[in-house]
Amino acid sequence: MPALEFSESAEKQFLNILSRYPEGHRRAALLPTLHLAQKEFGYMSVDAMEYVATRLELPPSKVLHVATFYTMYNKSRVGQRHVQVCKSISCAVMKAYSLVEYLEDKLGVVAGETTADGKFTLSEVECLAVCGYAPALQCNDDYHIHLGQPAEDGSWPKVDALLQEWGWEA
Amino acid sequence: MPTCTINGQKIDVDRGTTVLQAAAELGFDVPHFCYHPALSIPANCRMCLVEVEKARKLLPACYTQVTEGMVVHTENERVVQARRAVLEFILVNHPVDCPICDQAGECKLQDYYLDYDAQSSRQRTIKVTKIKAFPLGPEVVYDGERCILCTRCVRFCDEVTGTNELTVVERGDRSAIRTFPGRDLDNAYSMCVVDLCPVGALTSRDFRFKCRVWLLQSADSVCTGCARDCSVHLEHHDAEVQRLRPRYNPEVNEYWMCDAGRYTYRELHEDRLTSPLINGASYTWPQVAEKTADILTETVQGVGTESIAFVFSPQASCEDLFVARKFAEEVLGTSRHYMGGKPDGQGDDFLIHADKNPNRNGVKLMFPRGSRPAPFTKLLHDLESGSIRALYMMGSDIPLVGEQRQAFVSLVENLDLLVLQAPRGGELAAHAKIILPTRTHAEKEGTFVNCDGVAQGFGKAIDPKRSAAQDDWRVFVRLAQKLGAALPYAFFKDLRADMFAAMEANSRKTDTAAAPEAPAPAG
Repeated sequence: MPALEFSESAEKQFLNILSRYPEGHRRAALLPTLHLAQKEFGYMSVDAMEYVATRLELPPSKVLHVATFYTMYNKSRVGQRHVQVCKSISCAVMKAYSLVEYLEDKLGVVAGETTADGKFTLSEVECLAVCGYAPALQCNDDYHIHLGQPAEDGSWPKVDALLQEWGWEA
Repeated sequence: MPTCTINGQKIDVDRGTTVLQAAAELGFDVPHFCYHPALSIPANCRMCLVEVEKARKLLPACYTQVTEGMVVHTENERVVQARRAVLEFILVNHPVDCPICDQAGECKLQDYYLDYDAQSSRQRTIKVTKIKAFPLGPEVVYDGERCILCTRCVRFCDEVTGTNELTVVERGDRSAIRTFPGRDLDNAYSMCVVDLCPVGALTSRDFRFKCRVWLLQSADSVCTGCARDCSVHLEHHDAEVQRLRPRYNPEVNEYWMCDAGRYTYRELHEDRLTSPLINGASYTWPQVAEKTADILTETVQGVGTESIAFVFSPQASCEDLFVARKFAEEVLGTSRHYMGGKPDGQGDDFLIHADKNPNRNGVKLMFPRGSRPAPFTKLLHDLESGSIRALYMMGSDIPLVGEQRQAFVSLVENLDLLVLQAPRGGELAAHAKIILPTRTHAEKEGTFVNCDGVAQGFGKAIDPKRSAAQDDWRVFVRLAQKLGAALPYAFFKDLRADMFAAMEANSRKTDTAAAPEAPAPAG
């Protein structure tokens, strides 16, 4: 048996997910179940994937296939706040790369890393599908758009405000 | 019955036939990687794109079913251009390391490249590199750079073995074949994925770097690992068998064979008896025949024919067994026949049979019903009771395990005479007064009858290396001549004809389903 198990509320959600699909088509519930598992266990650990496979009665290899295909399933542990900066074309034109560099400076990590206190993970991601509102970033499930442009001193006021809201301390 | 036109030729096909199959029937080879007749059709490699008139785009021939009046072109300019383009895509990140690739020489990518692409790379960026030797399991090594992600191996594990070990991970140019972390590609048929792989991505740990494939010569043979008798390509170089590959046979093994079967080639070269011996001294065949004849005559006079037991080997071919029976009955005059061979092992519900001998049904068919050889345990019993004083054994295998096996070996020590006529020595060689080395199935022609009664002929692949080993039937004929009761065989084909006649006669009397059916003569 895998070491993990859904909590009571996650179990309820899981049963709800299952109820959306016809009997005998548990495989269809794979994507939402993986999201649930990610919320529950933090990231797609081997144990988490194995647990999902057991619950959905699938070969573990098929769970690995799907979990590794989609980048929104995290393959390693992320911080409490997962800051994902869009770097696709519209955002890139609006200086998203400078934004990434700014956040790297502020948080003291390189994109893809987590801060030492485990509070923030910074990632670059592909298109967040809000090209009209660039530059944009996503923090956990929330979108933050129209992040403006850097001030003369290179700082990003709107981003500073966000960081403050998230309880970031210099 | 839709009728279609392929490259100007009309053909009637059954409903559901694909364009690729219809084209193959007309003799047009549509190049393909991911399509395999025994697996599902994902149409992911795009190599088999063909032009169907009235369809706007090119269609995958492997997946498109023939419809009435369809007009197909598989070799026109547009199709050839598409193949070139597909190959260019496939080769974007391919390392082109053919000189160190085991697949070179039997690689579909290599062949198609020369047929359709044959241009230098136009790519000006650095290729994506990946791990070159990733062990997927105990038998198979994966090279991510060479992989074209056709997923044949994945589908084999899903659909044929049902073990689901393999999958594609990641996406885009990071995609690779992997197992779930902590699990191996470890099933009884895992090496089939090496045959399935159209490129050099999956290689067999056993065969890796052992021999270039263009040096191999191939003979149609039969696997001797169990009573299934899978048809194989027995591939050899320099008088040594290098590997076995399954040979398509819809009546026996289709496209597959088990891993254990693939390793049976090893014992073809292990522990071989190379020279006729009497009391440890080496002789030529004429000398040994004369001396053996003398010893046998002496024994017959001393202990009587009924104290001589003859063990028939289900490892031997039907032809050899046919002459062996004549030798035992007509020349030695003994009717005490026993069944030798290897002890039973594990079987499964696919190909692997619990009986680890290729020709048990062949032995049975050499005898009329009611006079078939007694089980080996009976021999053990008869040895214990002392009613047997001399033993003529075909094959050195002992179908006993544990204490019974030890008991047998120690009882053999006390015999007046043990003649061992076998390709390998084993634990009995030390106790045999006379040793007559014989050929393995790779070194002779013959016939095996499998567990379902299918008779298959196998051809000679190699000559025994630095060895005087002879065909079993030639040894019997030689001894019979010296014993004054000549067996009338000089040519294999006469012997084979007589053998099949006898086999048919013996099976004709059968009335129950338990007996193997009369096999058709092997072509």
